[in-house]
Amino acid sequence: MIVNDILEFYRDICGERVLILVSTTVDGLCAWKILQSLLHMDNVQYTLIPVDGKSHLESAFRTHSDQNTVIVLIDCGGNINVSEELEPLPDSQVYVLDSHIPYDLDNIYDGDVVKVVIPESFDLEVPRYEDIYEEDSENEDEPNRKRRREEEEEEEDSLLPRKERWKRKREELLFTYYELSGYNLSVSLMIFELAWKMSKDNSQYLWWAIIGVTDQYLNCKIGRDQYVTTCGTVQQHVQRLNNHSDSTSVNQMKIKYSNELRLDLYRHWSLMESLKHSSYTASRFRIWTSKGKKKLNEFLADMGLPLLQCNQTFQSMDMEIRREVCGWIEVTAQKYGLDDISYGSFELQYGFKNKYCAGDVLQAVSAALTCPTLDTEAAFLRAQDTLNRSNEKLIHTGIEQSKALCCSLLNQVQAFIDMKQVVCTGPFVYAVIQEGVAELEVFAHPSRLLRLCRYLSEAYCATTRKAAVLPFIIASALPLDPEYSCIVGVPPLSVDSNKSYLGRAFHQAADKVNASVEFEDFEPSVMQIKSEDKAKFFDALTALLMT
Amino acid sequence: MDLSLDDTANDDEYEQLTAAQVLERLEESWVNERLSPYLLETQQEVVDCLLEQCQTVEDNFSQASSFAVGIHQLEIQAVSKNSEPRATQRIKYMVTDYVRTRLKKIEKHTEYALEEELVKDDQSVPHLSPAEFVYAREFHRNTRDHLTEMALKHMPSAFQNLDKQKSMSVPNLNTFIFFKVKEDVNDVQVDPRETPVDLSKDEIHISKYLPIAPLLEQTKIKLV
Amino acid sequence: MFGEKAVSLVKELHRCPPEQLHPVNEDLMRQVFAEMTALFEANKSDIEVNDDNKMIPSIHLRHSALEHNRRCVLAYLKQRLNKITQFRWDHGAVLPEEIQVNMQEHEKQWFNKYNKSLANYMLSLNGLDITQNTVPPKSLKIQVRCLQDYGELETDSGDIIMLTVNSEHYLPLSECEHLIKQGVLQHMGS
Repeated sequence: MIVNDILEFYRDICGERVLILVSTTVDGLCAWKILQSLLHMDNVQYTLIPVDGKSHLESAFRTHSDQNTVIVLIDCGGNINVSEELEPLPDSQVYVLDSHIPYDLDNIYDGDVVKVVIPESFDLEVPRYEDIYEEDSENEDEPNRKRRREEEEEEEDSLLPRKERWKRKREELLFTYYELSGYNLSVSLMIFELAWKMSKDNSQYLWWAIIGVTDQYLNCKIGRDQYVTTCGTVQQHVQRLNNHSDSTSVNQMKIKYSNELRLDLYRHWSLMESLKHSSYTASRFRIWTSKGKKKLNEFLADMGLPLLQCNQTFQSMDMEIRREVCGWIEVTAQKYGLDDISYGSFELQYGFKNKYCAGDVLQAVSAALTCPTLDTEAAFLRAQDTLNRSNEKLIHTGIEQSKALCCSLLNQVQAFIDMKQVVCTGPFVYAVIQEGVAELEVFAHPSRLLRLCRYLSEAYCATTRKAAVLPFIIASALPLDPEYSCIVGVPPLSVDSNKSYLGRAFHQAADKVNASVEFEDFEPSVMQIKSEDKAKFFDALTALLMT
Repeated sequence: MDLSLDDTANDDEYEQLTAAQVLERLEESWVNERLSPYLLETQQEVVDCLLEQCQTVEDNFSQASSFAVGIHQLEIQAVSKNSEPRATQRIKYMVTDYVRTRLKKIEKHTEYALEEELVKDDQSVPHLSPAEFVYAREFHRNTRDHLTEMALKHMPSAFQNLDKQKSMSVPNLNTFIFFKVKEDVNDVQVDPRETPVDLSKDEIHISKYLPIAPLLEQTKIKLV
Repeated sequence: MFGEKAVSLVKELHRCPPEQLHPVNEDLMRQVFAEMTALFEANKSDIEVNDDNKMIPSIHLRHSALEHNRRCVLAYLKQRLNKITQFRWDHGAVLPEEIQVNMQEHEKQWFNKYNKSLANYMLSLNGLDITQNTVPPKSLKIQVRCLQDYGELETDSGDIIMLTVNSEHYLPLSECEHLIKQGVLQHMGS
């Protein structure tokens, strides 16, 4: 069932011990940080387990659920049938706060053990109950009602065409509903608004919510329009909180709205490195070609920036240049076709030294969260610590790791393009990371692989414009288990919507060829497949998408 | 007139105190105990009373759902099920630390403590509660046996016995301490070489422990 | 020089780090006892043999050496007992292996008796465990991270909590204190 009143959700979990299962996404992590702080204030006993996939969620749930009557799933569980997959005990309450849509209909309509928390403002476009489940059933509390209905209807085939029409309509509705997967309102912003409704909000929580929202935008989970609207809401909170704090202490956290450049980590790197490695500029300049490098130098010269300055770390550049360079870039970028070089974002300042923009912090936390050398829970805990503003060292470690990741991303994309490993079948474009490549370990985590995929699509489309209407897919062998590969897909660049049909397509193609697949990740367009089944899977996918 | 009989039969032994006053007295005793070089008079009744209260509160909370508990005197705030009130935790900590401080002093100056108790008469308040006395005695016997077994036994006969007076560790009662005056006291002999002084309420002074120890026991002053 | 061995006993103890306990240096102790016996014999014979007071200074010297030796040995042993007492308060009734291994048999017996005394005393206080609550409570519950797979933990209220590695929990201080001491849980400062 749906719970619109988030205060009701919080009241319900406050009285008991709570089991919290959080998915290892940045949005989930930020949501957890805020919720954790609220639970501390109310002295609620909890147990926290980070989970990185469906089977992990299942095993953690089974291990811990019988000791807890209240269970909260953060940023996971929305798009799986919780009652069936996790089998919660009848007297327990499972609350789901997930940004992955579409929500499984059984979570919404089936019983009152599973409760999906959705703010009233969001329109889910969920089919009506009557259209999915037969209304005139005697046993209202049986779980698989609709399956029984179908059996009954098959027996009564000769009956009224009304039933036929209803069945067909139902199939259509279900198909449309589940066809596109995407993302809802950020969970961290949802929990921030909970804190706000309880008058317990502060700048720290707002900052964490901003990181969650920025994660959604920069990782293309939400489109530009949705992001701009969300920023508007956030900006109101920013203004309210800044006005509240009348103290002029320098150590106070102050958040400011500002235009941010799509240059990764430029404040902590040199301008040249950032321009070379950020996917936006690297793709449009085609930096892997010599012509591209020359064009970049032209761009810098056009702004009057000496190469020497650009190669120094940003903090060591001349003061005047540092102050003005963002403005210069925005203006000059128009000439070079980089129309979208800036976007609205937020930055945080506390103390004299510490000024961070949301994008940078996001990168640092993300690098910690997806670190290949740590296992899931350890990485989650490290990322959690990175979000504490007292841990400056961890943020810097995270930033350094991000820089390394940026270099790996560029190298891999360059390898793909230079060695012509990008294959354009009719309906989609794909590339495979070969086994034995050094970067295989770096991209072990699906979210890094997704980022590589987006980077590749931007880079490839810069040369081959017609590829912009095609989705991109990357396959990579799992470093720990080369018999299996991970396949991820991103929707076409030209579409600004956040919705993607790839998840559904993957499912269907895999079913068709009986490939041995797993859909471990909560993100639908990520799957694991047996390496030997890859070829026939791609064939089936091609056939499917051609129709 | 024979007042002594009346004195012993007065109501002091059965003072009625509210829970808040008991708590206050424990807090003061705790601070005093931590700051003084030697054991003060035992406050066993205070300790026992508070422990009993804590237990009652815990039992009540484990059975009840969230509501405002009627034991207001102990400043307990209503919280939800499964959480102990803050005040009980703090009280427990105070009591535990008070008892611990005393035990540490007993362990440090075992023989001295035992000696002191034996020379006290029946009228004065003991420094060791019955349980503490037993503890001290056992500790002393245990240690003495151990030292005899490990060392003294192997030494020449003339050195096998320890002269108690020389070997026991005596607390330094002449350390300086700060104290605050709770009620006016006249003619206090702080230093034998000087004239007695008058102490007024709320003054803070520093002095050697020994001369003002009796005032502490009469709760006319408290250590800060 | 007389008394040097005894002093080296004391120095050895002084050098030992506070959280460790070295084994009893029985050899050195025996040497000290031997020295004491020798001195005592020498004194005895001097007193018996000589009537006059010519040997008095040397008798005094030996006597002082004897007292000094005794004092050093007793200080050494007593200080070891103090350390063991402190370990009891830090680690609980069962001492870690690395300390137990270095305790002499008598010291182990002493420790058992000390434990018993302490337990009896705590009984007199309605079972209040005075080795807990060593720090003033800042909040009712604390945030802890589980460092190893511990399994099920039963709380006072009868609830069961599963402690798996790398899970985080927010539990009452009283439940976790002993596990923090054992190193199963790590307290995360809030």
